[in-house]
Amino acid sequence: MALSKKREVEDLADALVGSADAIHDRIIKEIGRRKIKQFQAYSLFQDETSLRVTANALYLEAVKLIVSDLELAQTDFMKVINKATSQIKTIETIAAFVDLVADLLVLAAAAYAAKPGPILSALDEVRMDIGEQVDS
Amino acid sequence: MKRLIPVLLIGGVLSACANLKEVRDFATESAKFSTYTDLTTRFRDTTDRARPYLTGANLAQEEATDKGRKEVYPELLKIHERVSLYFKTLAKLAGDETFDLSHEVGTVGDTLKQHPAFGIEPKHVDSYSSIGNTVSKWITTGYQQSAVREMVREGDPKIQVLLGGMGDLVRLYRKTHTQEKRIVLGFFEAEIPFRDGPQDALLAALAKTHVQSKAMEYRLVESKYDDAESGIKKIMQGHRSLVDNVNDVSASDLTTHLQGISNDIRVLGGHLQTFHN
Repeated sequence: MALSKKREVEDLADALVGSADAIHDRIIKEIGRRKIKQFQAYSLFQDETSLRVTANALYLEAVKLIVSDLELAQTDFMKVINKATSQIKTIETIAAFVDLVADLLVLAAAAYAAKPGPILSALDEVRMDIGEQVDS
Repeated sequence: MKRLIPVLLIGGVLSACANLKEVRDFATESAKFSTYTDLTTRFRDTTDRARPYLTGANLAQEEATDKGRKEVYPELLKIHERVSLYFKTLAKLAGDETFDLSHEVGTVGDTLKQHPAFGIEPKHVDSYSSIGNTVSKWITTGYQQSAVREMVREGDPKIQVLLGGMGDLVRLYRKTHTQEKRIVLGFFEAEIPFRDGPQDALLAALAKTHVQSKAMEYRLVESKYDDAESGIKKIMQGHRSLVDNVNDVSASDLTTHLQGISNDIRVLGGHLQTFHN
């Protein structure tokens, strides 16, 4: 409904522009044939301009109708943006998860490679260390 | 030994992970596309340029329209800001830094280095860091892809409506511009032929020079409307492709496609900057 209305407003303005263009062509043609005097040309040009000024006023109306249509879409739109932003924020939780996994892997690797005893016994302490690092 | 197996698997999994660079580049270029703003400002200032050619009732009506244009101007900019914010967010979501955990992993490595009592040698710490980075990249890439997917899928209907609206607005800006041009150039067209006497030679020469520079100005501006319209279409198209290929953001076709679109948008933007300066 709103769409047809803003289209109608724009179409009406386009039609006025068509008349203004026809008036202008005629003025120029008559000037070329020296059929009209300067004051007549001036006066006709003012009429032509009046149609153009009105057309521009209607284009502004069409612009306003588009804006009010889009306002609804924008409200909806902000929800999507805000959701994405909060997803970017939740990465911190994943960071903690990744640390935990990586921590387990490295300790397993270090244990396998070199000194199993002290490392395994240090496992809990290291975890706690990392926990503090992540939280701070 | 068993515990090392996941580590060895990671390499294989990683190579299958998507590269989101193209998505990010596309989103960054789209967010920067500022022609719309330039043309909106030009639309707002229409009356300032047309005023010298208007009198009486025409001037009065134009002044009323001028007031209306100035009132709606902030709303028009807001549309661009929202679209821009969307693409900035998408660029960030698809960005390298957003999901880069090398800092966190590095911190853990440093902590280990500072505690030699654990009996961990530096080379183990270094291997920890590299494993940690690999694991974090592996895990977060999956998360990142699904976040990007969700955003483009949910955002598409809205972004298409907003971009379509921006396209409609640019069309109306162009029509407004055309009327301004026909008023200004038309005025001279209807006046200059009557100034062909010797006493008006100076006036005629000045008027013709002015017509030349105005005609040049209008030509340059008109290419801006073309650029804005094709830029908006390209962004709509690019986003559409993102949604169509949403289950495989790294599909090579899409990658090439998006790279092309990002470049086009960048070129259009640079082109416009040249005019602007």
